Amino acid sequence: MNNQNFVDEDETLFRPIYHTGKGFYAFAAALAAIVLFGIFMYIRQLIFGLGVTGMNEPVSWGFYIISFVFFIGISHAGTLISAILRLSKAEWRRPITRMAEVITGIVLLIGGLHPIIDLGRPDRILHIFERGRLQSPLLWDVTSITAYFTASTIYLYLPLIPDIALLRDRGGRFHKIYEILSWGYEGTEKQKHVLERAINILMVMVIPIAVSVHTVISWIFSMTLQPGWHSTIFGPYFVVGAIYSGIAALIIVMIAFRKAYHLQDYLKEIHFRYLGTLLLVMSLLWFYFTFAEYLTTFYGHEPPEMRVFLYKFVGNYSFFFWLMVVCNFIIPVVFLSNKKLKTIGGILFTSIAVVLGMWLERLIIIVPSMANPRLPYPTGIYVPSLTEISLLLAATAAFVLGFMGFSKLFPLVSIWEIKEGREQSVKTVSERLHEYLPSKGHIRNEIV
Amino acid sequence: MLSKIKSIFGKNILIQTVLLSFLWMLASGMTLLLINLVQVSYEVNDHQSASIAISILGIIVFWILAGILTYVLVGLYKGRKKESNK
Amino acid sequence: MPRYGMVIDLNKCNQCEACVTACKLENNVQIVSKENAEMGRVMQWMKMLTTNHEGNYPEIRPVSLPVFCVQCDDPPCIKVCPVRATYKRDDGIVAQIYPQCIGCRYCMANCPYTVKVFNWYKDEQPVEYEKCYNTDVSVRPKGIVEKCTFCIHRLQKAKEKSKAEHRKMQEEDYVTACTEVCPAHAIHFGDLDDPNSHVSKLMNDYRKFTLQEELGTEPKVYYLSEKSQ
Repeated sequence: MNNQNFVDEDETLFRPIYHTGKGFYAFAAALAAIVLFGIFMYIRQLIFGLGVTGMNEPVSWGFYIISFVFFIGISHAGTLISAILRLSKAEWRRPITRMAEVITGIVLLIGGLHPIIDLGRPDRILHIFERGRLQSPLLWDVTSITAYFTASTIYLYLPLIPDIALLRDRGGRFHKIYEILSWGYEGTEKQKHVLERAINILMVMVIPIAVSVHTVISWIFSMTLQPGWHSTIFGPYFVVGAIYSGIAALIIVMIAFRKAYHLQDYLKEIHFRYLGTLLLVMSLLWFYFTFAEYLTTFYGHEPPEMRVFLYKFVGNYSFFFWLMVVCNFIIPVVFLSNKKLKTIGGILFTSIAVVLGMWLERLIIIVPSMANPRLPYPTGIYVPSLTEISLLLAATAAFVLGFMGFSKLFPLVSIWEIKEGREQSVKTVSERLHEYLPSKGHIRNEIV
Repeated sequence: MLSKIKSIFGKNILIQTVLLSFLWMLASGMTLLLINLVQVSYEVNDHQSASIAISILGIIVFWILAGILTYVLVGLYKGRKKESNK
Repeated sequence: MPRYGMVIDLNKCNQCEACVTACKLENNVQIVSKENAEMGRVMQWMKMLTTNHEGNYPEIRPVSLPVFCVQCDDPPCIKVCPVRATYKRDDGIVAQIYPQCIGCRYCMANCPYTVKVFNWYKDEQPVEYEKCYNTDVSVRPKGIVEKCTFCIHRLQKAKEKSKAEHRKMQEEDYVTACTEVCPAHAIHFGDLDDPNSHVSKLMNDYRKFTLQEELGTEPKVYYLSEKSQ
């Protein structure tokens, strides 16, 4: 079927699926090369052992666990934007939800692979299922990440069905796949009702699952007796950090694809300004938790805790620690509270700083506590090796590649929600306003 | 007979049922896994209460998710316009 | 059931590290390459930990004590192992199941004494070392965690020997390698629950202390020292 005959109002959103430029292929090839190199380094690690990394005693967890926590943290982008904004009926979420949900799906896959990469004997992974111990936080982790991945994939798929139906009706290359995946969706009243109901149930369900995922990951650390880890604040701290890094990653992805696919009409400045405000709020929340954590540690002045504390504040890790504070607190506050600096360029710069800062935060949490054991051993030193760095780069490349692959099959902006917003939202919102405002007095009907 | 089913439900019914069954397999798989782990914890006398608590949570979540998706996909089928050759 | 524990008299210990060497030879602990040793991957089940220095310059002496798995009665490492590769036996020894370990190193992260050791590489061992492997102990592959097990293979041998000789196991039948080799007789090993064993008698010594007992891990390795460590 000839798809060039269709000129939809939202043709820009359909275009990436049908047209692929040379630049796309070149970029994808470069990313694939990085991923392949990462796989090669991992195979090397399988042959020679974990000794190819920089880990040692006492620092027996390094880049892999840092990246694991980091990537799973980014997955919270999907929940916040999609579920919470849908729940609060915020209309500006419409062009954003699809990208947020896709980030969650891809990043959970990549993040979930990292503990396996970190294992000394991945060939024995089935031991977890045959003879595992549910008392161990690692198993809670396995369960909650699987549940979250399933829930968020379904939550990505359900609002995708009407868009798949639109693509199916246009014909084209993947017509058969779209037909299968759209499950006979035709936009009838009954179908819309079923879909809406299921999305509503899921959006409520996905929030506690998502909160539990990062809480459980934080409990991997806080359930131990290590100084600097054994803190009750870790659960909420990690969730806040995850949402924070998630929004930043979402902003970066949005700006990148807005440029690449010319989505300026759909992802307007106002969306970024709102997301920037959210980012600022999360930055302040993150700072509050961090400050509370370190003040409590410092005031208590327990020797093993102080050893870790001083290592972070003035010792070998002080560079990373203060860089983290600059990236996570100073830059966002400066750029996002100032109207002149809160441009798209400024927001992009802030988001990149936040993503870097949050990765550093995971580094700061994990390595200093391991390098400064309770007994007076000499302080450990951890230098990442080429294997670990290349696997981190490969994971990032795989993430971008996955996103690009998705954008070639399905629209990155939820087309039916944009259409719904255009056609129905004005009426829905003004009806809601009528509900809130007092019935006496004249509510201006110019809105309708 | 296959073509009759296909003409009633739509030509992609087979593949779609297989795809949906993946989710049911996941839910059953997780159930069996978690029950197995509870059994192991009883054998070695190792904090059975924690095993049971986490298993119950996990099993419930997965079956609810499978249920939601089935509800949607069955609902979508039922809500189709009556067309004989689609 | 016996409850095996150890008492180390630090006033007799002259820090010769014979125990460290004996442990390494007895349990086929890997000798790592020079590069790995510099990275901090030396494999020692028993370490001599320097806690202090005494004396004035230039006669400064380090004060050390041997640190190894203190066989906690409430071990933090078994709580977090996802596959039950480390577990506590009825006789109090915290054992490792090498074929079960998947190498996640969570137990290493949770041990407050930092005594668990990981096989990062499989290095080529010197030929002389391979020739004198202890045949009672397995040689671990790369990628798994190991630690002091109170020479549990010696316990098994002692049990089999006393069974073959149709008698009950005596205290002298089962001693760990470090106990056997210490030239100053500073290390004492035995059944803490047996009131007649000489470790139980040493438990009445007023100089007794354990490492980090405030953490509630209930270690079964006690140290005796006049001075505070």
